[in-house]
Amino acid sequence: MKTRTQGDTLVITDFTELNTTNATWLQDLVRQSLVHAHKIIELDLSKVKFLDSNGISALISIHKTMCKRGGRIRLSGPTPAVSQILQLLSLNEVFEIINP
Amino acid sequence: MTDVVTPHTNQIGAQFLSLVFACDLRESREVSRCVRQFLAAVPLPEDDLHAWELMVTEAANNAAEYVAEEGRQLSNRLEVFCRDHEIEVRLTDHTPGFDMPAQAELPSIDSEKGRGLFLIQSLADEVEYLRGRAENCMVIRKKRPAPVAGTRAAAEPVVDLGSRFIGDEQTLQAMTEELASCYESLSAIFRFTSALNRPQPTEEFTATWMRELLAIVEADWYVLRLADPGGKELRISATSLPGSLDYSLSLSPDVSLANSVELRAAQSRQDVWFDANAPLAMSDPLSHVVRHSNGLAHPIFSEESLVGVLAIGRLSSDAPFKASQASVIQTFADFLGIQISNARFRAEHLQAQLTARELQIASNLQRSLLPEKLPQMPGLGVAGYYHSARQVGGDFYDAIAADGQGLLLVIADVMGKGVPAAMFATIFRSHLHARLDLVKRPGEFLTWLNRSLFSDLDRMEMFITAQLVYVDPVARRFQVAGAGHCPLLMTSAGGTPVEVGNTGFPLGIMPDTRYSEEVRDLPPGARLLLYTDGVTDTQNASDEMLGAERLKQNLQQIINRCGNTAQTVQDMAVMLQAFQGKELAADDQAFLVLASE
Repeated sequence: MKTRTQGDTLVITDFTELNTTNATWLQDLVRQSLVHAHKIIELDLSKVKFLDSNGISALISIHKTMCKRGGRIRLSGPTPAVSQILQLLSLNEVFEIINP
Repeated sequence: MTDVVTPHTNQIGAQFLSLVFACDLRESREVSRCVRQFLAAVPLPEDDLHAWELMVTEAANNAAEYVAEEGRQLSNRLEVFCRDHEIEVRLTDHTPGFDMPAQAELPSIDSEKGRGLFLIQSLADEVEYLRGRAENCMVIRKKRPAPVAGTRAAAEPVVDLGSRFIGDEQTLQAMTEELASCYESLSAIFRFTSALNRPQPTEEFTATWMRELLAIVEADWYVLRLADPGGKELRISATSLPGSLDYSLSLSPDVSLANSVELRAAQSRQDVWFDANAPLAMSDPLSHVVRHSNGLAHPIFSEESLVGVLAIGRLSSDAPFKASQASVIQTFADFLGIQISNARFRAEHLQAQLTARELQIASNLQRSLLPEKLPQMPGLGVAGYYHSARQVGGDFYDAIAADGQGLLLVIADVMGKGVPAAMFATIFRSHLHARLDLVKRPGEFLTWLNRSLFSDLDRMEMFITAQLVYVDPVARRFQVAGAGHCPLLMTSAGGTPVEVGNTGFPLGIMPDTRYSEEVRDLPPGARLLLYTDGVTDTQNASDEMLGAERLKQNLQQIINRCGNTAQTVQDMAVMLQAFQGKELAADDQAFLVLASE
C-alpha cells in the first residue's frame, strides 16, 4: 500500500485485496498518515479483486473516524467484484464512490 | 495447510477437494484461494469463483474467530463436492456453534461486525448449519450455471496419485470407525423408510422408532409432543420418562415462551440446546422430570408447518451429542414428521418429499463409500471411475493395500437402486474391511463374504455381484475370483484384450457356494480393467448397447494411445460419454484400471 496527499485528500493506492490479513494494517496506515488537513480519505480500489467482511469492517471504521472529524471516505474505481459486494451490503449509498 | 487431497480422480463429473487446516485466521485466505483455484478448473465463471472465494473466506473466518480455547488446537476441515448441477462446500468447525437464522439481517451501518453470514446467505442458494457440541458443519450449496452450448465441463483428471498418498492408514481407520458407528443408524433409517410405507398406528410406530433412536444416539430419554390439528398447542405423543408429562403447552403467541425449551424450539423453528452451562429453567416443566441433563429440543416441520417438537437428552452432563448424532436425531425427527403428516393428511406431495429425502440419503451414502484416494505401489498404478445414474444405485469399487506388498482390487454391483442398494453396498464394504487377512485368497474371501451376507441378502431378496483381484507385484501375478460378475479385461503389450475370471453365483443366491480363483501372470505393460455391467450396458441414442466387443476395441485403442492409468480412466470416461451422447445413463457406471509398469 502507498499513500500520497493530494490537497485535502489522503490517497491510498497499490493494494489488490482487502481482507483479514491486511485490514488492520490499513487502519494502522490511516492512523499514522492522517493529519489535520486531511478531509477526505480516498481508497483506490481499481486493483482490488477481493474484499471480505473484515475488509468492509476496516472501511466502516475509517468512515466513522472521518465522520467524527467532519470528513468522509471515498472509494474510487471499484472493480465489478467489489462493487457487487458493496451493493449487496447496501454500502454503495453510504460511501462516496467514484467511477472514473 | 496440513493436508490436501485434491482433485479427486474417482468421479468425473463429480470432482472432490478436501482440505485440512489449522484454526487460524491467516489460513482462511489460503484455503479460499485454494478452493478458487480448484473450482477454476471445473470450470466456473468468474462471478461464481468470486462468490465461492468470498463464502469460503467468511465461513473459515467465522470458524477461526469464534472457536473456544479447547477447540483451537483442532484442525478444521473443508470439503468441496462438484456435482453436475451444483457445488457443495462443507466446513467442519470446533466452535461452540450458533443458531443460524433462516436469513441473517444486514447489520446497521455503524456495526463493524456481522456481515460474513449475511454475505454467505446472499451469495449461496442453500446454507445449512449442522450443530453438535464437539463439532459443527456448515453446508453451503450453489447451483452451477448452465453450460454454454458446445462446451463440456473439463474433467481434468488428475493428479499423480502417488504424491497424494497422505496419511492413508489414518484416513482408512477414521473411515472404518465412522462406517461402524453409522452402520446402526443407517440400518435403522433403512428400516424406518421401509416401515414408513406401511400403514401403522402412528403412536405405536412412534414409540418403536423413538426407542431405536435412543439406542443409536446413546440418549437416555425423549419427550415427543405433537401440535394439535389446529396448531394451538403441543400435546404429549410419546415419552420414555416416567412422571406427569401429559400436560399441553400452548402455542399461543401471548404465552411467554422463555421457560420451555420445547416451546422455544417451536417458536424459533430452530434446535434449542441445553446442558450444564445452559440448564433447563426451573420453571420449564421438563426440568421437574430431568433436572440435570444435556440435550436438545428439535422442532419437526413438514411442508413448513409445525408437526411437533422432540426433546431428547442424556442424564449425565459430560457427554453432549456430537454433530453426527445430532444429525441422526434431526433426520429421524424429520422422517417422523413426514410419517405423521402422511397419517394425518395422506397427501401425495408428501410422498414426493419422502422419496427425495430417501434419494438424498442414498446419494450421500453412495458418495461416502468410494475410497477418497487409491493406494499406489511401486510398479503399479490404479485409478477408478464412478458415474451415478438418474437414480442412485449400488455400484462400488475399492483398492486396498495389503501387508505393504500386494493390492486387492474390488468391484461390486448391488442389485437394485436407492437406499436399499446403497445400504447393502455399505454392508458389503464394512464386511470387506473386516477381514483383510483374506486378501491373498480372493476365492476364500468371496466364500466368506457370501456366507456372512447370505441371510441379510436372502431376506431382502437381493444379491450382489462382485469380483476380487489380488495383485502381487513382486511375483508379477494376480489371482481373480468372481461372484456373478462380468470377467475383467486384461491387455498385454501389443495384444488384444482378453477376458479373465469365472463368473459363478452372485453373493446371496446359495448359502454354501464355494468360489474358486484363477492365477495369471502380470507381465510388465499389462493393464487390467474391472468394470460393472453399467459400462457394457451403456446405450446410445439408437438404443444400442456398448457391449463387451466394442468395449474391448475401445480399450485397446485407448491403451495404445497413452500410458498412465489416470489418462486411461479419463479416455474411457470420455469414450462412454461420447457413445452415450445425450442419453441419460440408465445404470451406474464404475470401473477400475490397474497398470503394471
